[in-house]
Amino acid sequence: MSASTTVTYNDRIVRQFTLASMIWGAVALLAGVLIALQLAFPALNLGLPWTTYGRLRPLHTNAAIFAFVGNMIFAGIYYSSQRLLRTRLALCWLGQVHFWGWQLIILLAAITLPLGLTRGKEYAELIWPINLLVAVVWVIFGAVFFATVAARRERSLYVAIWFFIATIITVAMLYVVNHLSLPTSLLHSYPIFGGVQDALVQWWYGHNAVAFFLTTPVLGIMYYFIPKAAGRPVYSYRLSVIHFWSLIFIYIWAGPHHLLNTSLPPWLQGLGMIFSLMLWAPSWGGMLNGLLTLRGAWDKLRTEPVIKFMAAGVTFYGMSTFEGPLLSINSVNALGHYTDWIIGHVHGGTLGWNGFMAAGMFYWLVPRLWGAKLHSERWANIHFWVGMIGILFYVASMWVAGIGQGLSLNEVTADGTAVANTFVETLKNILPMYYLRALGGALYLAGYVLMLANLFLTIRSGRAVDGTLEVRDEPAAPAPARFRTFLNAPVLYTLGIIVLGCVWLLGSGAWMLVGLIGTPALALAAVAHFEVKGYTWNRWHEELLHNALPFSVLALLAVAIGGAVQILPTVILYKGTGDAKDLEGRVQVPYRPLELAGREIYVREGCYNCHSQMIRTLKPDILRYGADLGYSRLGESVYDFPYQWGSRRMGPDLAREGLTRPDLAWHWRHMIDPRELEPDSLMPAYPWLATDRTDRASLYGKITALRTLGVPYKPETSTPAAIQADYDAQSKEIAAELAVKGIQADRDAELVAVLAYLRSLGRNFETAK
Amino acid sequence: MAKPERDDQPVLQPHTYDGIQEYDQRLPNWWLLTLHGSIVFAFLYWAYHFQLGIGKPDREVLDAELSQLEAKRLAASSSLDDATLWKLSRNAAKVAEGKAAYQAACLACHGPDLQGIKGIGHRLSDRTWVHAAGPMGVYRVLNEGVMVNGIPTGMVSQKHLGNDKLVALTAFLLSTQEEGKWQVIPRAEEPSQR
Repeated sequence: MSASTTVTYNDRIVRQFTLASMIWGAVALLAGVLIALQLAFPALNLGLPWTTYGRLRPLHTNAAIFAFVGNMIFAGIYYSSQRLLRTRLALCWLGQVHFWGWQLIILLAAITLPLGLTRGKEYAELIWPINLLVAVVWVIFGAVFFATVAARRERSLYVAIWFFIATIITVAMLYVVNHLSLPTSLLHSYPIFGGVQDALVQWWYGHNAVAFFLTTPVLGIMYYFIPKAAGRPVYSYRLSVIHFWSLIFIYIWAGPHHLLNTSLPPWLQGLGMIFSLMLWAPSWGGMLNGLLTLRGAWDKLRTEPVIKFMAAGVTFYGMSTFEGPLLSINSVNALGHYTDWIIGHVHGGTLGWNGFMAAGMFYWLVPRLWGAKLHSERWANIHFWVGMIGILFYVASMWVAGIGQGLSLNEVTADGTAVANTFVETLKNILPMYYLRALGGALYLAGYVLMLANLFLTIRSGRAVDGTLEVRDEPAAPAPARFRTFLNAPVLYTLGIIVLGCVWLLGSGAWMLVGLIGTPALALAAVAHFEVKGYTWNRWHEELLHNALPFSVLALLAVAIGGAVQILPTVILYKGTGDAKDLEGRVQVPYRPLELAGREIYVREGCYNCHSQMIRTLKPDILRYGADLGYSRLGESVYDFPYQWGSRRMGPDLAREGLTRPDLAWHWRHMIDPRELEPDSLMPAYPWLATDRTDRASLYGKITALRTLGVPYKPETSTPAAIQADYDAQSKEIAAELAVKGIQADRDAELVAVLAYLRSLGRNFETAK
Repeated sequence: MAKPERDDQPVLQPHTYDGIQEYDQRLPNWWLLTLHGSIVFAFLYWAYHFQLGIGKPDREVLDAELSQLEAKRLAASSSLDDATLWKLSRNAAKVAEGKAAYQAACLACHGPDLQGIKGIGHRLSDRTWVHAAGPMGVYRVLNEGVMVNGIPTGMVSQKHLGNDKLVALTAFLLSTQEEGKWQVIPRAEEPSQR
C-alpha cells in the first residue's frame, strides 16, 4: 500500500496575477478609448506634452499587451500548469519576485512613456534599464515554470504545456535581440540595428510578439479551460501535434509581411508573404481544436459564461488568422497597409481573442479561487453582448475607414498620371468612422467594467481558497533516454527537409537544383516512411512528451531557424558600407547635429505613430510623395537608428518632406497650431516646442554612439566643439530664414531642431559608390 | 486504450490530464488541403518570382510604368498656351472644378479666400504677382514649383494633383484676374508679405 498525501496548489499567485490583469485591463481599455477620442477630437490632446496621442498610444499598446494580457497569461499558466503537472508551484518565493517585478515594470512604463522616454520602436518603446528588468523578470518566470516542470508528478506534457514552453523560449529570444541597445545615458539608447536591419528585426519581433505573447500562451490557456468548462475531450491529439509544431515553426518567418512594398529587399518580402499564407492552416488548427471540443456541449453555450466568451474568443481568433494571411498578400497589402484596416485587424484579435479569452478565464477562476458562486450570470451575459457589439462597431468601422481610405488614397486620375485625392480629403471622409470606433471601444469598456463589478462582488462574498490534490507516493518513473529523442526518423526527416528547403530557397545554380529535387524527394520519402512505420513516429512523440528538456530544445530549434535565415544575411549585406547594388544606388548622409537633435524630438514625441517615412513601390505613393525621386531606396535610411518607416498613416508620409514642404514658416506655424493652416488635420498641437530648449549637451555622446554603430561621421566634425559650432551655424540659418517670414525664433528652441530635421528629409542622401 | 462506446465514436487517447482527455480524430480533409495547398503555392510562387526568371521583378514593371506616365504628362502640358488658359478661366465649370481643387490642396498656405497667409503663402486675389508672369507662368509654378538654386523653396510642385487639376486651378486663379492688367513685382513689395 502506498501512502497518500495532499498537495496544496499555490493559488495565491494566481489570485495576484488575476487581480492585476483585471485592474490593468481597465487602464489599458480606458487609455484606448481616450486615444480613439483624441483622433476624433484633437482638442482632447489637452495641450500638454504628456497627454498627446504620440505618447499615449504606446502607453495603450504596452498596457494592453504587457499589463493586461501579460498578467492574464501568467495567471492562466500558473493555474493550469500546477494542475496539469500535478504538483505545487516550485520556487514560490521566486514567483513573488516575478509578480512584483512585473508590476514594477508596468509602473515604470506608465511613468516613462508619458514623459516621452522611448526607444521609438513599436511595442518595444521602453527604455533600456526597463528592458533589462523585463529580461530578468522573464528569466525568473522561466525558472519558476521549468522548476515546476522538473518537479512534476505527471510525466507526460499536455498540449497546453507545449505552448507555454514555446512562449517562454521564443519571447526571451525575440525580446533580447530586438532590445539590443547602445546606451548614451541612463534614459536613452540607440538600437544596434539601423535602417532596413532595424525594420526587419523590429517586425520579426513585433509580429512574433503577437504570435508568442498574445497567441501561443492563450492557446495553451484555451487547451486547459475549454475542455474543463465543456467537460468534453479535446477534439484531436494529432491535430494538436501538427498545428503546434507547424505554427511555431512558420510564425517566425512571417514578420516581413509588415514591410511589403517597402524598400525591404524583395526576397524577404516574398518569404514574408508565402509563410504568412502557410500560417493560415496551422492557426485554424488551433481554432478547430478549440471549437470542435465543444461538440456535444453546445447547449452550455447558452448558460455558461465561460464557454460563451471562449467560443466567441476562438471564433475571433479564426477570423483574425484568416484576415492576417489575406492582408499579407502583396496586392491586398498595397490597399490595407498604413490604413485603419490594420487597426481593425489587430483589435479583432485583441478585443475578440485576448479580451474574451481573458474574460472567460476570469469567470472560471474567480469563483474557484475565492470559493464563491459568481455574483450574477445575468451581468456576465450583458457583459458578453455589450462587449460583442462593441467589437463589431470597432472592427466594422475600421474596415470601412481603412478600406475606404486605402481606396481613395490609391485612386489615380483618369489618365493615370496623378493621385485623385489629397491626404486631408481622405482623412476628412473617415472621421464619422472614428466616432463609431470610439463608441465601440467605450461599449467594450462598459462591458468590462460590469465584469469587474461582478467579479469584485463575487470575491467579497467568498474567501481565498487554494486547490488541493490527493497524490499517492508512486515510485519514480525511469528517466527515458534523452538522446534517442533527437536521433530518430521524424526529427531527421524534418531537419533534412528544412535544410534542403533553405538550400532551394536561397541557393543558386547547382545548389538550387539540389534543393529543388531534394526537398520534395525527402518529403515523399518521409510520407512513405510514415505510412509504413507511423506508429513508431507516434511513439517517439509520446516519448518526447516525457522529456521536457529535449522537447524545449526542439522547440527552440523550430523557432530559431526562420529568424536566422532572414536576419543574418540582412545584417551582413544591407549596411551603409555595403555594395551599391544592395543599397539600391543611394546612401544616406549622416544628420547634422541640429538635425539629429530634431530627430530625437521626433522620436520622443512618437511622430512615427502617425507618420511613415517610406514611399512604397506603388504608383500612388510615388505620385503623392515621391518629389521626382521615385520610391524610397534601401540606402536612404540605412543610418537611421531607430528606423522610422512607420506602420500607420494618420498624416502624410514624410520621407521627402524637405522637398515636398520645404517652407519652414509653414512648419513652424503648423506645429504650433495645425488647424490654423489645415482645418481638417487631426494632429496634436505642439506649442511648447517653440519655447522648450533643446538638449544640446547630449549630442556629443549621441554622435559618438552613432559612430560606434558605424555611421560615418568624420572625426574632425565629431568633437564637442565642432558639434556645437555646426549646431550654432545651422540654427542661425534657420532662425534667419524664419525671421524673414516674420517669425522670431529662439535658436535653441526644440522646434528649430525639428524644423531642421524635417527640412533634411528627402535631401540627405547621395549616390552610392 | 478506452473502448469507444460505439464503432463510429472517435478513439480516446489513453491519458488524462487533470481530468482532461483527448480524442485522436483524423484531420479534416479541407484543413489538410489548405495546409498542403498553401505549401505548394509557396513553392510555385517562389520559383515563379525569384528563381525561374518568369515573373518580371515588380520594380522593373513599376519603372516602365512610371516612364510612360512621365511621357503622358509632358504631352498634356505641351498643348497649353496663354490664350487657352484665359478662355478656360471664363468657363464656369472649369473654375468651379479649380475652386474645389484649391480648397483641397492650396488653402493650407494661401488661406481659404485667396488672401494669402503672412510669411507662408502669397495673396492670389490681387493683380500683383511675384513668381508668375502670365497664365502659363501660373501653370508652370503649379507644375514645377519655385526653385532657388535648384532647391525647392516655398511653393513646391503640385503635379501630384495631375494635369487636369492644375489646368482647373490655373483657370480658377485667373478667374479673378483681367487680361492685360497683370503686374509682376518683387517679393518685398508683395502686400501679403508685409
